Amino acid sequence: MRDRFGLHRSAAALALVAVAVLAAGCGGGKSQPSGGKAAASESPADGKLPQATTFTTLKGIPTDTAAAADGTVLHPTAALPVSATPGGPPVAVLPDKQLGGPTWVPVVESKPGWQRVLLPSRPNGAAGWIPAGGGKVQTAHSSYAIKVDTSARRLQLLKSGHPLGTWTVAVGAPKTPTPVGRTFLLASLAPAKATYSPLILPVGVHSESLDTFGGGPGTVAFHGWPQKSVFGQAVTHGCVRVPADALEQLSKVPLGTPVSISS
Amino acid sequence: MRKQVKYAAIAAVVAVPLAAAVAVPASATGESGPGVSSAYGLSADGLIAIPRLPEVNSESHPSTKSVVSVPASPLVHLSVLRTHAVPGHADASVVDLKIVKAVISPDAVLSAKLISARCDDGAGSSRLVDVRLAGHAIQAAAAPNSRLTVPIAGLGGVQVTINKQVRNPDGSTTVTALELYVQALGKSQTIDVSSATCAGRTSAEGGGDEAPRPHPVPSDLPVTG
Repeated sequence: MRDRFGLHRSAAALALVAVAVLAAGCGGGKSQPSGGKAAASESPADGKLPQATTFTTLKGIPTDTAAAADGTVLHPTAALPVSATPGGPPVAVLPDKQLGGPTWVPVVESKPGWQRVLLPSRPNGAAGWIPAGGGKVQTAHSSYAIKVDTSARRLQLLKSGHPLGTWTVAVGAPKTPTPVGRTFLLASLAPAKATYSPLILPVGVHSESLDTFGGGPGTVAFHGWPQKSVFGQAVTHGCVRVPADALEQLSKVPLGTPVSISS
Repeated sequence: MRKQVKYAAIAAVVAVPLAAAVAVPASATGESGPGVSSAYGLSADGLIAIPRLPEVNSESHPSTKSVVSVPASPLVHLSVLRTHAVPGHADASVVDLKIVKAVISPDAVLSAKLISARCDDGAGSSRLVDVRLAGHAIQAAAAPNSRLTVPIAGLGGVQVTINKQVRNPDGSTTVTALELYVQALGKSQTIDVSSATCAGRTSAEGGGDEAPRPHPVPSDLPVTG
């Protein structure tokens, strides 16, 4: 029997056996997305600008000012320079792909000719300015919003301001908390071996207590979990484990959609 | 007392063919793609040739350039020439410009405290401060594509286009604050001062359509489960 994501019940049983493995690294995947370099601290010794991806730490990039966003999301159709200030010199490059899929980032501030977007790199909240035009940007609107309350261990999905669903979830343990702040849905990944979840939905922030985890850069994600008993617990290494129906709803949400995590 | 030059706006029907004859829109040069802004401060074509100086576009870095002299053109003097271009916006300005003798004719001198052009989201504007051509004052505020002819002995007249605005084939707008055209001895000479090109807001990027539903990528990432 398969659930909505095609996960065999037997596979779920196998996942139970793999708890020890999961505890060491919930990602469980050994494959590294092409071009990825785990936990690389980008220092452009070769003169090239660092890439703004989940694998990098950017220097000289200011953090999110929490300016009001209107749901505008943006896809660079080619790599774009990222500046710390509108018109300033580029300090990073935002590639057109993230983790094998298209890059979509939320616009959090605009000035003539420039848009400030959230970036998927460390430090958390990194937000840089990119040129608004030049034929290299596709803009769209996401009417969705995702809110996570780590204290209440609750995730809420909204569309056009109206709740589509609220679920009890598992969040980071006290020593490895889910980082709070504004971020965004970065990617939608379907692991070849769905050890614990048929779908991994990484977001733009990283654990602040784990520089690396399971061979990855400490990226926080939404994903499922085979044991329902975890929901409502603060037991993860930073990820947000969600019930299957929540994961199915989240799978429909456009990349770049803002995610607000509060405690 | 200044001798005021009477000028009149020429109807578009007349202005367009003339404009096409004396200048090439920036977008037609192949230097700018759709949605790309660009600017230059000074350009001359004819007996005196000056490449667009300093030319910038919104895809280049730096996006702002300045020069304080015109190389190999001793007849052109200026304090500073600045250009700037980012998506949806471009501007160019020339401060304390003086073109002395021989460039237009032995008797003609163009001087200006400021000549600037600005383009925002496809809308152009120009500003002229204390501009004089062969002693004739050129009106500071002018409607788009205002034209006048300044008579100069031996040349029959220098055609001046102020606040010249051209809609390019890609939908962008080029505004040139001041353009001079003279024909003498079978040769033509044009001089453009402060030119800016930018795309309109509607022609730049896609609209606010709903963002697409994602397609899961067959991949994995070790996350902080």
